[in-house]
Amino acid sequence: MKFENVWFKDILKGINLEGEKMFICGYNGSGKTTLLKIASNLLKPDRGRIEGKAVYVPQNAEDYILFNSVRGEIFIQAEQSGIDIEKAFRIAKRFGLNIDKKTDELSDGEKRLLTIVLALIRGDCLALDEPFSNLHPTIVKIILNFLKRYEFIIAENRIEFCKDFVWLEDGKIKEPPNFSFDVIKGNFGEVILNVENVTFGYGKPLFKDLSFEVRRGEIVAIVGMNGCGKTTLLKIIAGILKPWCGEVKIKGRIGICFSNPYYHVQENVSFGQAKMKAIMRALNADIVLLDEPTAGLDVEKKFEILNLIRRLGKTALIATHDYEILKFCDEIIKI
Amino acid sequence: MIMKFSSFAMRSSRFEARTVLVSLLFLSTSLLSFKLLTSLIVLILSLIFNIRIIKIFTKFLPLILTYLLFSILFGGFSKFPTFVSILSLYLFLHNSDVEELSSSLIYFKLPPRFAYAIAISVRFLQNVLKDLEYLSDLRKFEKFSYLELLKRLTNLIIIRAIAMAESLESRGFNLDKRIKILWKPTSIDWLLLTISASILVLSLFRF
Repeated sequence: MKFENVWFKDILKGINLEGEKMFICGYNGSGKTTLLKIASNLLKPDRGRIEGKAVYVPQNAEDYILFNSVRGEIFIQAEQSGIDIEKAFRIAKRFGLNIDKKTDELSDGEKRLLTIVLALIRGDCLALDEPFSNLHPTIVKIILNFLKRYEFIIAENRIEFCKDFVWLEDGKIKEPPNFSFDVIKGNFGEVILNVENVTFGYGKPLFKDLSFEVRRGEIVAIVGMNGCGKTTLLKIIAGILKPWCGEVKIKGRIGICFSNPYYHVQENVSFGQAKMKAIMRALNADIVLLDEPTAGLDVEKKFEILNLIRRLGKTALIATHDYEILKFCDEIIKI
Repeated sequence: MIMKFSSFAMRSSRFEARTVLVSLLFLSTSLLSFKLLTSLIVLILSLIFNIRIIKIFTKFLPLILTYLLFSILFGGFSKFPTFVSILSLYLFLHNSDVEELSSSLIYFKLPPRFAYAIAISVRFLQNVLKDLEYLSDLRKFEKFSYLELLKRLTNLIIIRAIAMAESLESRGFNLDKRIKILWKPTSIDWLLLTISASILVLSLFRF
């Protein structure tokens, strides 16, 4: 892919880029997604020239998956792209996809792999928008390994996975800032949340006899592979789901913020901005339950959130895959 | 080779989608005779050919029993078997994935855009239902009104629709492509077609 002096409204201001494998990082609203959409012909630049064409894959894999079975997805995409069906299924096999599964049965990581396979059936160059948000580091590494032999342009906020990334700021390519973040130390009080021997699952148990305590002012991270039950645990604590057995004792008011911020925010703003707003709202409560709060947020805002929780003296339970923030959490619960 | 591979590619169940669609047309037409024997045969046929649906069928038992009770109390019991047969035919449709059904519509010369629109609508509806479930959970929690729930859902639907439209364009669904759906029916497909066609003919003349 090659971008020559690309301008788009007041979002991109003379972008010059060239490469086969490009990682674009930058703050929320810096123009990363716009650049990908221009690379995929979904948007036309006001000025400038682009060489090559990529296939755009949005941040939310569910919006890219259109049918009910993996088999159907691949078959129809191959028919639509006019490529040999056998070749299409070979690509799926290379990525380790089980074609007999229904798309609803796929884990987040598998959904992401499916979107990549579909895009590869469509074209040789990929434009992936935040492909690693919501994914466990192990799965990210698997995907990166698969992508080695392909051409891509990836917009990503998790800079720890982006080798030799380009920094986009105010619509221009700039030198990346020197990142050094710190989170204020917390003051802990009495126990305000007590999870006692909780067991829950869908059909078979996701977790058995889970017990832990959270003190006032603590930031507790809940980690584990995709589909292990992190969000489910948050829902149980919030009282949305009832555990099979066990008890949750809470002192104080609970606030929750789901992974998709548009459940909470109605304004027509970007994903990152919506996420910040949704988290801010949840922070009105004493105990806040945050599902993937850093997914889709730039590196600066991630730590801004943690500091905000500290400054307000709130207690937070964070279900996350972002291992960068774990060192600033007071306790880690592994499911 | 392509022929062989295509039949493998789009056959996730015992029957191929074209067979399911044509049989459904025959069987539902035969139900128009409103005769008890026709309804029973259709019901047995749809259950025999797909044991899987018996499990789903049992979930509809409260609805079936309510209908039965009302038809006994207020009359119209003769239509009860037809109702159950229609229900089982609907479940019979679950034999095939929606994309297989839409591909078979393309085979029957329906425009691909229209056929895919059906499949994508089903998927979109599933996503909307998931969103509704999340919002209902959140409503219990944040205690907002139903009007607020509706507003949030509308917002989500618009966001999803825009994202899906972008995905369709990115995946090349905006281009008119001549799609060839090649399938090879097996003996069980022919058996189902023959039986359902026979039921249609017999229901018109004998039952």
